Amino acid sequence: MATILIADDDPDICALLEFTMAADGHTVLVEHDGEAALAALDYAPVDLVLLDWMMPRMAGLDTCRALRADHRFARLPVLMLTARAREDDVRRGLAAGADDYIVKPFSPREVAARVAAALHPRQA
Amino acid sequence: MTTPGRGMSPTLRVLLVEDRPDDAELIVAELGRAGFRVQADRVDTDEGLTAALAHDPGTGPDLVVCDYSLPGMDPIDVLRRCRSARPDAPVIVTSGVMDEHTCVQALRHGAVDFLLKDRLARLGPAVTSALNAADLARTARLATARERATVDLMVGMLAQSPAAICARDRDGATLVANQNYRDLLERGLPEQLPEQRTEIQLGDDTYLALRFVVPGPDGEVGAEGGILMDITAQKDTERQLRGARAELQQQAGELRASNDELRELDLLKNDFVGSVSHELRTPLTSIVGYSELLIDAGIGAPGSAHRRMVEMIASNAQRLLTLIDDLLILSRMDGLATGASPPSDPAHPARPAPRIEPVAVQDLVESACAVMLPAAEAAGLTLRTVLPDRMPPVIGHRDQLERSLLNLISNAVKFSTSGGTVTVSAGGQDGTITLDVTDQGIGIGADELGQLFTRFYRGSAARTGAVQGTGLGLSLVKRIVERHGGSIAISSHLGEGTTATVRLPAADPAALPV
Repeated sequence: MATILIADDDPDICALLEFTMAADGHTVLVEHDGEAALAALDYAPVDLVLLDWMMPRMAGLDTCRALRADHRFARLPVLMLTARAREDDVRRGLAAGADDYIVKPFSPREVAARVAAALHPRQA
Repeated sequence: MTTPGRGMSPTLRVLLVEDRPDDAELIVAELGRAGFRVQADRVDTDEGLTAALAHDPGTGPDLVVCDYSLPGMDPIDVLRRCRSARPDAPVIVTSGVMDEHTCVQALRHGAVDFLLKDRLARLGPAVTSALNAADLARTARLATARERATVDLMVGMLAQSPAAICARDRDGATLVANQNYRDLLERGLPEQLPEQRTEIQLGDDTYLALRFVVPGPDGEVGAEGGILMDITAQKDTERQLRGARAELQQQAGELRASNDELRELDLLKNDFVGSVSHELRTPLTSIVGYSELLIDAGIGAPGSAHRRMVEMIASNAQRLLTLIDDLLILSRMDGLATGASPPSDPAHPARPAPRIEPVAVQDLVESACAVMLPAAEAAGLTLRTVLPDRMPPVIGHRDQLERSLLNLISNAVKFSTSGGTVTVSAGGQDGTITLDVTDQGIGIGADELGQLFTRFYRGSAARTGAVQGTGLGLSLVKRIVERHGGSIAISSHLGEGTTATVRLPAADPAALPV
């Protein structure tokens, strides 16, 4: 089982994701903005990040770029969560270094499946 | 013209004022000897003279030879009458005696020569010389008359001209100025000639000044002319035109401003709808997600009241999501339609335009049907596709086209009754792609067909709550199809079903990437 960092400014969505991840046996860290998420990565070993696009202080896209710029996190799986559903938004998200892109509203089952796939790419 | 037989009139008509026929004959003979062809007419009374002089100029005498001592006739009076009646005919006076007083008198009263009768040999040269002199005098008189006429004409033109005209010599002294010019001087026009093409204001009137130079005989400036024309009326018209133009420009400016304002408002509206749509997705995420968690956690047995309640929450959340998506697409298209969001405007970050690409119609139909299949099956319907093996693609926005087809199939499913079939068929002919979505559902009344494409309009079946929907679907489809250069038509019969037909231009095969 893995440690998942959830970064989203909406506490209800954080709770939803936390419940879903915990149900699969993962350990969960929750932050509500990009800067806090980056700070959390510094002290806790994290296996995967669920990153909201629109957050205060540092938006998901910038957080993702900052994270990829750090060699320690170059291979860390990052899943982007966003209400921005347009095709070019998806392209921008992936271009910033995200491994996957999940459009809100999402099905918790689908998020769980995508997290599993990202954690074990060969088995997926 | 010195001669006998002068020019074109070879015959010299001579009037002899002579009481003695012998003397007259002598004179005629003398003229004949001098080479003149003579046609003579002799008079010796006042009445005779009057008759002879009354001839019209073509037949009157060319020359008068007058005896100075005629009984009953005053030679001075004869001279005066001849001069007056025939100014061009010279008068030569003859006399038997020569005295200085007589001679002087005769010459003073217009005689050109004075001959003694016993010296008639001088007559020929005297006549020749007199005729030449008369000729010269006539020419000079004609020239003077012509000159006079020209001057009169010029003076008349100056006086009658509507312009004010003045000419000055090179020292500035006035040579001529017409009444109009003098009037202007009195009204305050400066003495000096105005500069070329200046406008001069005198009271309420405006004058345009023109200057010109009259060269003198030495090639230097002989005189300078000035003309002033009253252009008050033209200036007034010009002013009115300028005023009208300024007003037009102002109105155009106001129009532009209000147009910009409207565009700005439209942009704000679309941005507002866009951001509200995004904002709405966040709470929807919780509703959809928690509903799913509740179902997964096994709340209520399948079919139980609690289970149905949660499912209703989930399906309504889906409805809300569809509505938000439709609103978002509509607002984006409005934004594009008004040319909103210039990329350089920092207040409105660049929005990349949706990609335009060739879209395979078969893929479009199959992907839309795959999305709708669960809903169709849940409603107890068969979803059938009829696709040709080959057909050209259409050019456009794939997601918008798919959204159109989804909306049409979704409508067909919603308004069908269990056990029916929804058929999606596609065909290409003559450069047009036709997509038909046909159901065997409740149909639409003729009275409602015309309003189907109105935004937020919902048919009677939809309004009564039998069917869920937003009222945005068809207007969105119409917008999308029309933006792709196509059209949509709906035919329906109550109780028999409905067919929605979308026609789109097929991509030109020559323009497609290989």
